[in-house]
Amino acid sequence: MADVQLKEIAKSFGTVEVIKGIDLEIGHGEFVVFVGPSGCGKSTLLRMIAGLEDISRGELRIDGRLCNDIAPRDRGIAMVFQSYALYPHMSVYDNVGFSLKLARVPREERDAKVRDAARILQMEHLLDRRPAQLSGGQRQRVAIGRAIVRHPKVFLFDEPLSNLDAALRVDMRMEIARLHQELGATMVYVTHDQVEAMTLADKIVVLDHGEVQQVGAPLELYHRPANLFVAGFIGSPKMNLLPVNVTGSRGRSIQIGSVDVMATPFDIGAAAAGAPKELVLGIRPHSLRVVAAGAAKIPAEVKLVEHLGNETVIKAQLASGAAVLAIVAGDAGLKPGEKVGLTFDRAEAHLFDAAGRRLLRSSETAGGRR
Amino acid sequence: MRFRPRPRRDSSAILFVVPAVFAALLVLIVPLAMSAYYSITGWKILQPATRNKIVWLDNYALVLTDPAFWSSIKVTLIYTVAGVALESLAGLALALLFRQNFVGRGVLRTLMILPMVITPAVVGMFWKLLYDPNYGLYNFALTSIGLPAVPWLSSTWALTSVIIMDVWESSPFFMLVLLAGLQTEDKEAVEAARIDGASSWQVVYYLTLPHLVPYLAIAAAFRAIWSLSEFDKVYMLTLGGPGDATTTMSLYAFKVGFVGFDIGKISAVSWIIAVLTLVVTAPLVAYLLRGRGAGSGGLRR
Repeated sequence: MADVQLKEIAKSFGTVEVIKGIDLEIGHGEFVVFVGPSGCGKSTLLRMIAGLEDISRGELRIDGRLCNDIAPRDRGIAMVFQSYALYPHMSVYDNVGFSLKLARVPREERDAKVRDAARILQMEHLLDRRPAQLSGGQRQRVAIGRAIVRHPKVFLFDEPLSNLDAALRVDMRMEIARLHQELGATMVYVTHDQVEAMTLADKIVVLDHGEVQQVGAPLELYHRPANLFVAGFIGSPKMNLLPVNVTGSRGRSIQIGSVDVMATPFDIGAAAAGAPKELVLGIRPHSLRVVAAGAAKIPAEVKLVEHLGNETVIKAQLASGAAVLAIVAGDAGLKPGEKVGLTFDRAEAHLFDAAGRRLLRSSETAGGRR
Repeated sequence: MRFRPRPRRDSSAILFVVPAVFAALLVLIVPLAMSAYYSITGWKILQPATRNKIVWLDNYALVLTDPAFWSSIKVTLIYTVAGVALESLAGLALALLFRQNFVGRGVLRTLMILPMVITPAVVGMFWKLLYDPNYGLYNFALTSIGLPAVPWLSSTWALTSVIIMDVWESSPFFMLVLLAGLQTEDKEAVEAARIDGASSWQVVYYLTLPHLVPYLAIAAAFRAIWSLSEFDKVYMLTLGGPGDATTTMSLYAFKVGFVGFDIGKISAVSWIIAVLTLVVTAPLVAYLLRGRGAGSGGLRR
């Protein structure tokens, strides 16, 4: 177990800066997930921690030791790759024991460690096989076994489940969660799948364009996204985002409204005085409720209804032509073309300024903001 | 009786195959059959009457009891085995070198391929100049640093000199094939090995070499087949001499056929060479056809 510190870490390829000065603290035994869209720099950042990419600027410390110029093998890390990266001509046994062989660990000790890792991952029966004879899930198990056997200070996972089918992905996700509990090791995990991020992480780091957008616990990111990017990225289906105008303010409260949204007061504390004229209202599909037309904050017309059994996804069109998604429990009994009203709890709605930053409500502390 | 037409597919398929069968007959089967026939005749060009004189296996017996034939087999095997082995090593070293990124890599890599594209006869003439005992570059270089001149084309050195020339000409072929093999190496597996603690040499030994085995086998199979029938550049460099020191099987066949004009005997020699080539390269070809190494992440991947 070890902590990992990133101080002003940056990476440039030629003149293009892909990682732009990232500060991050990863604690002992913490499970941290880097998440973001393709090309956001999450894998590059992980590879910089692994030592597979040079660090252009900044400091990387693993367990307090400056690691910028330390070879990957001496950093006390182990890495699991998306493509499994198994050694194709070696048996599973030799794959798992390769690092121990290189480290000249005595044969008996090596054998014990390989078999122990195989037992943890329930793959003792696969030890004699070659990677080509294994399924995707089994290969990834071997890759994880290869990491476990080294007893690394830090485990690095680079989209380890992306090559697996949906059902296997769920199983392996639970396996990795179990492994984290069992080993208590520090783990850094890269994914573009927010479900993996939400379910596995103690702490999520949302990245975009090589910059950290927000760091926080999964539910904190869900309930208090720091900005429009995080709001749109975390949560499925995506948060509905509607442009609104500030139509008035009184004390700690502002009134917002638009052609779509009826005038609604919001308590944003001291920020009310200098609130900009144009804002974006964010409401998650699960936070919208369908009520009778005329009695709601948002009048709408149902365009599409998807019955999923336990819940119903409703796509509705607003007065401006904008579309929103609402998810309601059970069967809503709605039909396309029907006029309805949508309403929401103000505590579950978010306001963002023109720069995309979320405005804090007076009840909130500053903890949610970066 | 119901009329049942034969499926159209059959007749049209035969039509399509006919030209290829005809071409194969013309350029492959007929010459093979004719050479097999001539090998059991006593035909000598200068004696037209001998054309259809059947001597059965006399030609084979003559060849197989000729010490010069066995000498040519020995020369050919030494030339092939030493050449292919050295070219494999040199090609591997060059491929590993040109995989690295360095300034001028593109230009150097192109220059490395030049020996391979020069006509072998020109290669032979070119090396004859280099090996010249009095004016050659090599002896000039050796004597200018105080070393004794080497009689490159003497009976003791000639075969070595021929092998050196072949290594120069053919190593780029191995380099090209192995560079192609290196392109398909799993980069992430190499990174995983680096994290697992492997040094650069250990990565080459444990990952790169096993990955390259099928590629090496292909290149070696081709080179072995070509070396076993080597003629032109050796002919230009040494004419097979001094004596029989560098007479390969092909040169032996040439001497028999175009010096003695003994068509019966040259046909027998050709058949013996063909069988020998098949026997020598069979293990390599069998290895490739079985797809060995492919299951372990080689070519088939």
